[in-house]
Amino acid sequence: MRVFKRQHKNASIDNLATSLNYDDIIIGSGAGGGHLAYKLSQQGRRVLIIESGQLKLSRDFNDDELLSYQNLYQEQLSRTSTDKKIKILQGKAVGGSTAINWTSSFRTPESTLEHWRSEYGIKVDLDKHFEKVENFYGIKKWDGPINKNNQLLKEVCDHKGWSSDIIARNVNGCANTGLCGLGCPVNAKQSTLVNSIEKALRNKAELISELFVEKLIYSNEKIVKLIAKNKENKIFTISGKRFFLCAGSIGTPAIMLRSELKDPYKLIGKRTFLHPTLMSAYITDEIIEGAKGAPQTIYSNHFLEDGFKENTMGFKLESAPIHPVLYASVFDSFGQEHLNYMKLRPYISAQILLLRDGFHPESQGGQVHLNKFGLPSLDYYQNDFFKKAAIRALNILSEAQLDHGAKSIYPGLINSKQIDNKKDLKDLLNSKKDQLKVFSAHVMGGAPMGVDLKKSLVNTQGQSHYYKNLYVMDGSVFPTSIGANPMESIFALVDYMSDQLIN
Amino acid sequence: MDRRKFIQYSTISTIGASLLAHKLPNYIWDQEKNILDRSSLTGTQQYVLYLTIPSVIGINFQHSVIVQIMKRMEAFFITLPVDRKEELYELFSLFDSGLFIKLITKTPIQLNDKNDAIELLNSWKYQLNHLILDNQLYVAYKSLCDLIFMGFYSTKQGHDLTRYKSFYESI
Repeated sequence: MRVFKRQHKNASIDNLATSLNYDDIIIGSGAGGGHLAYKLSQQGRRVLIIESGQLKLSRDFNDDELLSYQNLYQEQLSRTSTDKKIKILQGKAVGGSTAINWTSSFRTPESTLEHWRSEYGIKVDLDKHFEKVENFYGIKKWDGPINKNNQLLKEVCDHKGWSSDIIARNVNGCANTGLCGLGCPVNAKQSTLVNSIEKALRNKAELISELFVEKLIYSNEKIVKLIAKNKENKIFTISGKRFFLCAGSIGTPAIMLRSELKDPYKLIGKRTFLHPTLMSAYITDEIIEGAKGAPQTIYSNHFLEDGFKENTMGFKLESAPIHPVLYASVFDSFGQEHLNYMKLRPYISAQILLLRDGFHPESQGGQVHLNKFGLPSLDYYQNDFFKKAAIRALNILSEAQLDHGAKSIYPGLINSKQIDNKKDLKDLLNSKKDQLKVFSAHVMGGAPMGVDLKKSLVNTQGQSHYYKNLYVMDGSVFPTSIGANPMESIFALVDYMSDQLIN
Repeated sequence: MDRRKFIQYSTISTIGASLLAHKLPNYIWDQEKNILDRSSLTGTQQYVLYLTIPSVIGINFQHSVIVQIMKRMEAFFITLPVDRKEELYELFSLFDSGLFIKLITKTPIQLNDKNDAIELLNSWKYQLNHLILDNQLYVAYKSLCDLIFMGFYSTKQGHDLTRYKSFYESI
């Protein structure tokens, strides 16, 4: 990691000139920015990567959840929707969310790509790019041990006759620490931090961390420079030939809004999707220890396509690791009742359902706007269509857990309770239709690609419709959610887009 | 309903509380004392937090443990982004308001000991939830609990309680 010493500067600590100039300026270092930096750095161009979060390497990671959330997550894990009803987990460090995600890697479902073709005119052939990034990031079907948390999900699926499969992961030499969400301590996870950014820096790209991009400055149809500031509010002006927005959904639209970019159809920040996620805890007498081992290894797409067949939203099933702080946040009780739940932690399998938003006229996603500090906030309104779909999915998963023989379950609702039979489950779901406990680790959309100016801000090469040297290359360009953990789709799409640009 | 509205209403109640203060007997600001040597919280806010932490976790902690949790919580929230920090201080400022406590408990309780804190939490969690501002009371309650969880369950003691074995201890 010596290359970081050479090619990295911290905007607050290191003595940086306040006026800088590069060929290509990449804002953000997650799946989009990190991969793009590697691709552009191979072209011999002077590439700068700007990251608002900190640079933390494996030696800095530990399992103090407080420090990890403080150092590696957007808003220190306190990011939520504007109404506070949806907790949003997003990375904020060099490597972005790839530094703290659970390594689950999926190709974009074919039904999603087909929907994009028919609804948005997006014709991109990603097959060879999936292959390329799978090789590059070591993505392959997990062949290591499956922990009990995931094993139990598989058993639930098998019991109901639902299809399930093993998840592919971007790891190399995984030590099964279970610490993916807090930063991999052994550099097994092939995040952009470990892989593509390091390679980009070896190719002479430069990285500035802890630098917050305030806005882009444009003249006619060209971006000419950006204005950024460090933690002490010292201002930096950085000029460039090309500008790439890769700050992630929420982050990228926020920069566009602050820059007051041309947006005749008011699309910036609109249609931001979350894969809204609910948990149902399976409680057993057996020790599960859901925080140990590879966090996500089993999934089920059995219900993923439901939205195309019925008037509802499809959903995906996965497991979630349960470290103490994250686990504690699931429950609403305090005192003795809280204590009882906390002592149950080793006996719980946390099974989650991820709703596939954006595929139905009544599922329009959220809207990013700026608050009085110029910081982004996401309005994501839970309408009746959403609530119905969420309760339906929760009912399917929770019932299956009871059918499989769970001693009891704890459905993810506000002020929920432990229940052990279907009648109580039905009563609980009926009484809590407006009390969904939702979180998200997959933020997508907000700066959609497409061919129709009324529906998109950039073309399928990521180039802005309005500014010739401005590109968006991250998950913001998805016109819907994708129905799968998005990292690999972002890698592949950016690989495709950057090939178009280079060629 | 926008959560800002909640804060606005709370601010109104804070102002109301100030106006009514002389009419309300023996509220928590009588108990003001500084628990942390250096803190961005007022004495009253620290005191409410001090009583609330054991009640939230459900353990009668020693003084030193509560102080440690409070220090960790504060070290965490002082580095929050400016908008989140403002919200949190608005939440803490509610503690300064006797009327807020009256509003959620329906009775003018004195926050003298752990039992009073439990009563406060109970009322906060369950009462008036639907009535007031689209669950925003619940949101405020939950934010405080999550902050306390962050301060405690990231420690060795929190790990032991939940039988979480640190990877770093095992190597």
